[in-house]
Order: sequence, then C-alpha cells, then structure tokens
Amino acid sequence: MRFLRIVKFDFGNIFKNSTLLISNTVIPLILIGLMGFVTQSFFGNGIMSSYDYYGVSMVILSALLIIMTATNAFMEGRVKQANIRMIYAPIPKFEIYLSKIISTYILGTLAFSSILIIGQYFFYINYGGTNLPYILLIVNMLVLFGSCFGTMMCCLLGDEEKASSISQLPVLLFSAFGGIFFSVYGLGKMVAAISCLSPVRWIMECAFRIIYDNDFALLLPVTFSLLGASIVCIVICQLTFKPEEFTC
Amino acid sequence: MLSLIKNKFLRIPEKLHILIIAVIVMPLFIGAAIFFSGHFMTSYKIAFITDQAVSIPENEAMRINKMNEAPTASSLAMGEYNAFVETNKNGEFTVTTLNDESDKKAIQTFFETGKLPEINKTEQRGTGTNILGFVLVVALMQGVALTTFYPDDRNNATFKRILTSPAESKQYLAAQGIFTFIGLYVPTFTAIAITKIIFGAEIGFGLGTLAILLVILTSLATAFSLFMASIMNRNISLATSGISIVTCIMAGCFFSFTGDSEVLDVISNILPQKAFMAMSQTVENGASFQEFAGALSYIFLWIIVLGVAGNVVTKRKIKKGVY
Repeated sequence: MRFLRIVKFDFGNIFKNSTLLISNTVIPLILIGLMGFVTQSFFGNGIMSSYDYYGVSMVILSALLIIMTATNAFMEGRVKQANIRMIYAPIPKFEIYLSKIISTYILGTLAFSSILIIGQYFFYINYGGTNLPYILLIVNMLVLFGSCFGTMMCCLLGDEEKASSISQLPVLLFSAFGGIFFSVYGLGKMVAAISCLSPVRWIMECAFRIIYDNDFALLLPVTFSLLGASIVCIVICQLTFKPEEFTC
Repeated sequence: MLSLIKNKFLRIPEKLHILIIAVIVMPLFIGAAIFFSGHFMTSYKIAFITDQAVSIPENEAMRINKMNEAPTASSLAMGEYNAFVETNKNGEFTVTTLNDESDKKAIQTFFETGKLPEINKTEQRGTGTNILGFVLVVALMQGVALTTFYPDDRNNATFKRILTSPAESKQYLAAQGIFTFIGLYVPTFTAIAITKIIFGAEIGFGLGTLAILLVILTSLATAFSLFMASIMNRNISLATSGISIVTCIMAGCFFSFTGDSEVLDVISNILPQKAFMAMSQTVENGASFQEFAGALSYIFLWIIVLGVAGNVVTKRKIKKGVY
C-alpha cells in the first residue's frame, strides 16, 4: 500500500508537469506530421507513405526519449526534496527508484499506446492493422527500457542534468545509425553494416517486418532483449543508488 | 562585467560534462555529419526478379541484384532496395517502389530502353547550406545546455546576491550570453574547419564566409537560449529541444521541401531559421550582398527581439520578487 502511494505521488508529479506531458503526447504527433509532410515528395503511391515511415520511426524515437521523463521524475529539483524525506523514512531504497520507473512507465505506456491507436484509426497511419497489438508490445517494451535506463543514469551520475544530457548522446547516435531520420542503406554498404550494431535499427526492422510482411521472427528477440536490458538497468540501480549521497 | 564573465569560465569544472559534450562530442557529430553527407548514394538499388536469363543494361546509377524470388516488402521500407522489377512472359516490366512517380517512370524506362531518362529533380541545395542547417539545429539545442549557469544561479539564490552588488541583470545576461556564444562558436568553427582542411571535405564555403555565417548562427542560438532560460523555470532544456526540432523541420533545416500547405508556409516564413537557410543558400550561390540583405536584417531583428525580451522578462521577474 505504501509503495502504491509513492507511485501515485510520482505519477502525479509527472502528470502535473506540463512540459513532460506535452513532450510525451503532442510532440510525437507533431513530429510524425511534420516529418511526413516534409518528406512527402520523396515517396510515391506505394504501400508505404512518408507518414507510415515516420509514424513508426518517430514513435520509436520519442518512446526512447522517455529517458528524459524518467530522469526528471527522479531528480528534478522539486522531486529531489521529497525524495530526501523518503530517504529518512524507514523504507527499503528500492521503493524510491522503482516507483519512479513504474510511474514513468505507466505514463509512457498510456501516452504511446494512445498515439499508436489514434495514429492508426484517426490518421490512417499503417501500424500493422490487425497486427497493431504487436507494435504496441514493442513500443511498450521500449518505454519500459527507457524508464529503467533513465533512472539508472540518475543513480550512476546523481544529477538530473548530467543524466539527461549524457543519455541523449547514445540515443541520438543509435537513432541516426538506426534509420530513424533517413534510410541507412542510402549511405552505402559500410554504414548499412555499422547500423547492424544499433539496437534501434533492429527495432525498426522488427516493426516494419510485422507491419509489411506479417513476419514475427524478430518480435521475440527484440522483446526479450529489451526486457533483459531493463532488468540489468534495475539491478544496476539497486547496486549504485546510494540514498546517503543523495543531496539537494 | 568582466568578473562576471571570468566567473563563468572559472566555474567550468563543476559542469565539466556539459563542456565535454559541447567541445568534444558535438563537434564530432558535426564532423561525422559532414563526412557522411558527402557520401549519400544517388543510385537506385533494384531487385530484379526474373527466372529467365535476361541481359540487363548497365548503368552506374542503377545497382541491380538479380534474383528468383522477390525480397520482403519490409526491405523496401527499410530502404535496402529502392525498387523491385519483375518481368512477365511477354517481356514487360512491372516496377514496385516506394519512391515517387518520376523515379518509378525512370526505372521503367531504363529497363525497357536501357537508357536512363534525364531526371529533372528540383534544384538541389548546396552542401554548405545542408551542413549549416544541421549545425543550426545542434547549436539551438546545445545553447541552452551552455546557458545552464543562469537557471542554476537563480535556484541557488546566487542570482539574488549578484543583483545586490553593483552588477545589473542586464550585465549578468550579457556575460552569460558571451559565455554561451564562445562555447558554441569556437568548437563548431574548429570542427568544420578541421574537416575541411585536414579531411578535405567539401563544405561549400570559404573559411572566411563560414566564420561570418557562424557568427550569425551562433548569435541566434545564444539569443534564443537566453530567452528560453529567462521565461522558463523548469525543464528548460527539454522544452528548448522540442521547440528547436519542430521549428527547424518546419524551416527546412533537414530537408528542403516545397509543400502545398499555406498555413505551414506562413508559419515557416516567420521563423528566423528559414531566413537563415535562404541566406546561406544565396551566399553559397555566390550572390551579392544586396540579395540577402533582407534576410540578414530579418535575422538580426529576431536576435535583438529575443535578447531584449529575455532582458525584460528577467527585469519584470526581479521587480515582482520572484528570485
């Protein structure tokens, strides 16, 4: 019960923060619309329009950027002060960071599931039609991983600003080499080979295979890798989170 | 004023990560972007699906893989292939592609006649302008990270103490602006100069022209980050990144586009980034000063408005006793 109360409070904190709320709901839709519109002329009347491509890629990018929400939920100035009170209370330390992970995850799941559903049924973006649940699952796992990763970075670095600015870098790098902004094959064979190292690329490919080929070969590997990575992040949180070093 | 500037530099060690990102990581990103932008493939990658021994015409703009079965549709989506070409018994070709109609026709014609028709693509943007478009996005997002001392000082009540000294908020903001400007300008210029001089990358401008264009670009980013840091209290960096990315896409910093949406046209014409991109293109085309004077003064207007607005907001908040 006590833990649920903490989660509820943390969730409320994110929900009341309008910047976080907007960046997880409206901004992804704007990004899809803009990128789709801007690149419209590169796409023809084939099976995939520019909105279909950026609908998938921008949702993946925004879902990864939930890391920023997680770092904010954990170590933003106002939240920090409340955390210090909890640190003094006789509760196990995992309740503190786990509640941030869970509250971020709940918000992210709600937000991105609605974006996918709205995108498919109101804006006619191809998210797989009847295969939509699988795309929901992947994005869901991605949000979980982002929440865990952001919280882990906070535990490691002990500072919101550091955590969010440093974790942005791998996200940008993997996204650029994962085909989020442009097709990796456009840069030649070498870059296409490098892109195999980017997890983002596999998530994109997994999504496209499900949507366009009904091919689920990558679904389980991607899901379990993300789940495994999330668990690793939580373990690192438990090992590195030192409440006694927590300062305002 | 001088001691205010000095103070910023002396405090670098406490924010070392931000400086490392600004001075090392971002320039690397910019360098990589320049390097790769020169390597964009202009050829079509085509899967030619046939079980007959058909001779295929050769052309360097077409990289054709012959195979018996069609690859998956997702390989088109991922861009592994630009098109599938299938033959039927009568020797007719069917082209399946995600590209636009003119590309589809070009491929069709190539397979039927063995010759590639002249492709009249819309006027391509110069390399230099493409690079500056990317740098502009990075600078706008990075500027706020370098302005971090200002919101920090407010949160720690240091700002209040500075204001009780003879220093004015105007001077404080100016000092912060100079710090941000240097932190943005020096690494960016060095990165582009190094990729040009050492790696011989094509950047479309002479170094002198580049230096001047970067002054304008960095001033805009500095004014914007001062403005954002003044009007917002929390989540400044997140909000700034969001605004920067959305407006930069609209202004065509990533892709130049010609849409038929009037609303978007009106909005994007207001944006200073659009004026900057237009000016950069004119400069790259080698036009005279008169031709971009309008765009230039428009950008300056934005810089001044953003700077003054930041100042006024800060003054007002001080009067209200917010800090």
